[in-house]
Amino acid sequence: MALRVAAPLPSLLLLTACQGVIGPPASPDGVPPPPSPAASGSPRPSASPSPSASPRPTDPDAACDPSAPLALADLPLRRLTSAQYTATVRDLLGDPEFAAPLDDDAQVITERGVRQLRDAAEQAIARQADWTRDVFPCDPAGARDEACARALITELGGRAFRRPVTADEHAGLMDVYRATAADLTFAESLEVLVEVILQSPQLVYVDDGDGSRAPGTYALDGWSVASRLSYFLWGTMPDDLLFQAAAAGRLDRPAGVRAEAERMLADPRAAATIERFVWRWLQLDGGRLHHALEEAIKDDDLFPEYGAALQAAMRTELEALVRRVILDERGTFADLLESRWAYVNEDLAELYGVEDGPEGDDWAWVQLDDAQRAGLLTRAAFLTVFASAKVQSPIRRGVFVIEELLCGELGDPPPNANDVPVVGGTVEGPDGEEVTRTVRQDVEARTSGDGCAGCHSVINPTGFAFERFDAIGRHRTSELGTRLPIDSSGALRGAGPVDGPVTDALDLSRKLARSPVAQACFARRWASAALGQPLHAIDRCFVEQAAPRFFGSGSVRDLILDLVTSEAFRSVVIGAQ
Amino acid sequence: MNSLKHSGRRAFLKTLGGAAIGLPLLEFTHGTAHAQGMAVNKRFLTVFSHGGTISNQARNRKYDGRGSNHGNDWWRAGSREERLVLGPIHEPLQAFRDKLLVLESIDNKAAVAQHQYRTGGHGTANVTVLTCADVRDGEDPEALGPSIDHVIAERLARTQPVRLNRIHLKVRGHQYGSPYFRASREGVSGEQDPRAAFRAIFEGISPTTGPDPAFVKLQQRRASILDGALASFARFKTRVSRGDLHVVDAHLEHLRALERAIESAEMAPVCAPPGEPGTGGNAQVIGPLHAQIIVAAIRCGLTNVANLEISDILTPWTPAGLRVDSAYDIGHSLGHYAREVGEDGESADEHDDWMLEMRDNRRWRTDLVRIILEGLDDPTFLENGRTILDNSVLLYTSEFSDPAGHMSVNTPVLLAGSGGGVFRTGRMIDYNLRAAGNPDTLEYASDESLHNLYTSILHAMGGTDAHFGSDHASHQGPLPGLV
Repeated sequence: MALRVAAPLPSLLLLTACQGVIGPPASPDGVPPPPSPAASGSPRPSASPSPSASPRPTDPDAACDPSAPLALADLPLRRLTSAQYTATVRDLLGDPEFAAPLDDDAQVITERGVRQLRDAAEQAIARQADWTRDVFPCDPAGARDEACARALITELGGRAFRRPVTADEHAGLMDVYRATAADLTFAESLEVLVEVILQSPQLVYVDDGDGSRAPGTYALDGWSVASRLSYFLWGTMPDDLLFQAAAAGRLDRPAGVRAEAERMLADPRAAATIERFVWRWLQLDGGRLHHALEEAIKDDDLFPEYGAALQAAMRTELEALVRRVILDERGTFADLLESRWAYVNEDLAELYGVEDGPEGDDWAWVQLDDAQRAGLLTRAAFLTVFASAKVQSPIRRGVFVIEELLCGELGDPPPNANDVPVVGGTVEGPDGEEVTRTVRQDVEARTSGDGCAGCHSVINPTGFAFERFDAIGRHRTSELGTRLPIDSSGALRGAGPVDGPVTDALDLSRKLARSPVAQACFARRWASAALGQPLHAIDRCFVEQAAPRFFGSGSVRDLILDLVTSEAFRSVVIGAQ
Repeated sequence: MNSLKHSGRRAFLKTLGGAAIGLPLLEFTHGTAHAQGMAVNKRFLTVFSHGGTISNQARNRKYDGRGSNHGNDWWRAGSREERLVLGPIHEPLQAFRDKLLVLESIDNKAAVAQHQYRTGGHGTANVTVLTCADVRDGEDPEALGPSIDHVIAERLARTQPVRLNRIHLKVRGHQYGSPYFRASREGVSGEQDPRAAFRAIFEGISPTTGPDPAFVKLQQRRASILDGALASFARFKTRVSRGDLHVVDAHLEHLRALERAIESAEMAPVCAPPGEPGTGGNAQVIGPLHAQIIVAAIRCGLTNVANLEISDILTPWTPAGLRVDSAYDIGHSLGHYAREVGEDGESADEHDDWMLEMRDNRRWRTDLVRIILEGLDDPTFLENGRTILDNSVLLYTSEFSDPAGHMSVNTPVLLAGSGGGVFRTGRMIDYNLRAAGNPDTLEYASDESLHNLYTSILHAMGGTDAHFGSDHASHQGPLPGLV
């Protein structure tokens, strides 16, 4: 039985199903569970509903009240991620090769993180020769010029803070400049200003306006909307056009936000953001129980073709598919799960069984066999990560579908859960005879006990649908190790009206594509990314109200545009603390 | 900006060129220790090995190997009170046997009490094992209090000024959360890159008699920038919500730590650090480099508290590496075999291979402890007649005993150093209440918790604390029998 760690979040249908069999959680010694740790208190319920938030139904079938106000939660102060900070400095200085030595993305910054910011600022200054923007308003080698310093603060500071510098901030930075006059050259004084700005809180944190206001929901000003848009869609600071839209007040209205968002979606930076979203959604950067695709090991003897080149090809293919479906074809959630287009080189073409595919490092779009492949869940990248070194992992694939596509909560595994790989093969039978089991049969044998069957009655049938895909995503009719025929029949539960038996991963993908639960889960994940809110703070009714067009068209582009023009995206909640 | 606030610092920086002359010469490889002729300096170190150990521990009993679990405890020392005989995992530490304490049957009662199944679990065990704190549950549980290293670091820095209150290096890999917390809900991660660690710790440290003029100039500049940054954050703090104040306060506190580091340049020792390490390399390379950097940082007097965190990695370079199919290349899978290599287990035929692979894996981790102990126990590097190790306490531990059961009872604990003669070393102490008449009993119960262990360590570091951590321990105060 696979071991997972899952959050004890609000119950959904699947959790109920699990607990219905396992029974109340108790240790093997029969010790009842202690009171909820949450009872010990939290210094700050950072994502608690705001006073204006209204309770919403947790029943997946309950009707939503479209007239209810969007339930927002107050948002903790967010720091730019390492990637966002790096991209921001690149754009701020016009230095696309700048690579900040940052890796500390803890929610509350650490001493090491602060030191890294200092080092990043020093490194940025050391790369002045590579800047393509005229950061300094005058010649730093010239005579000391206070007006130049003022202009630097106004111009660079304004772009770095993503809003006009206040008089107080300006005066403070001028103090920094003047304090260095005696000890440093003019050029050095200007550099010090730049370094201070690069480490300033207005740059490092996302500023949603004055947080010290009375509790309530406030409309964001155009500058803050610009920042939200740019970090959501581009992962970096606003460009000049977005700043101009904010300055002109166009971001104060949904139509203006939509116009800018449409412009931004046409930019390659949006493609990169969307690719990253899907990459993370599919956990291809690693998860609690697996490495990233690039670090996933495979058995050399079983998969001699596997290596860095094939991993890179898998990444290229998946990213290209996401770009094609979401941006080029303005496709739907269903298209992501059903598209047979694949961008392949020779290695991938061979893995997918494509005849007359490209050769060597040439790449081409091809249609995959409709009897073998559908969308994202039947692609090599996903199937490779959710597999062990030798065989497929129906348990991990099943858990992924339940948790990531259906937003189901399986709860903590029981104490006797295991994480020893289930690989099938020859074992000793009950009467001492040798028995050869497929991976599926091995999983069934190992998870049929009372302590496991509850959750695994849901997990296993979902994961078994992927049985035809081996540990690197090759399609098979008999298992690589045991040579036994593969049974890919399974079942889907918790997906709403499409629940029921499935014949294989294609059937599963088709049903998921039509599942309102999966669609709502997908929208919740996008809303979480757009609003910076944890997933549990965003429910189905929220996204149905915030993204109405998506629930009609299924278009991912509609979903993004709905979200950025929603009241939630353009508001901030100041909670009662 | 308050232009007067740091005038003293800037004045010092202007004259730093000659200020350091006359400070004791320290060398990483050989020399006179920082505290020669001064009050004895104390240091605290942790080596945290993620993923448990080879243990047959269950909640209130121990496995005998006849079921599905194996029946071995290879962390446990082979003797009681006198003449310590180390277990197989600790074989690399034989040379330091007389300076070690192996403590058996100490529970992480904060984890047990707060975990759904009363075993500890990954998240809860990790965030309590060094904090003994209440936990804020969630997808990634958080401790609501600081870890023991931070508490000691803050205290020691007041009496033993150093450039860095604590250092934290990490051998990267798979793990579940960090056990290190600066404060409530402020998890801390370690530096993974030896070169980055080296530069942060040894920047400006020179074996010559005066600081590098370029370094002095850099510090002047940094001081100005810090002034500006501190002022910016002070302004910013007025416009964040009350709920976010702790975020800004933490940032401010860390800026002040950088400020203190600049100020401490006045007392920067003249010391010959090791050569700067290169970049890259796997854990086999990085682990020893980290250990050597820790030794050098302490011998140069640059920190009082050092942490080496080792993720739950596999060690294919060891003799028995990769004997067992861990499938996902994470130590977690390897650890889980513990529950099925017993006589009746599904993987009984892999028992011997698993034992050897786990032994070599944990021995490799222990060997990093050895590197640190060798560096600190150098008899040519004495403080008031004692080695640095003698005046220090090193804690080697993990969040679990049995990794498969996620077992937070009988937490692995090995101490090295006596904290300046406070602890009586060279012993194993077993706090198993059921073992009084039979040291080899499989029955288990303990009234001792990590709370009590850390209270003892605080005392060894000069504290008088009545208790450390939450209210989950069976009793307050230190462990019995340590001193």
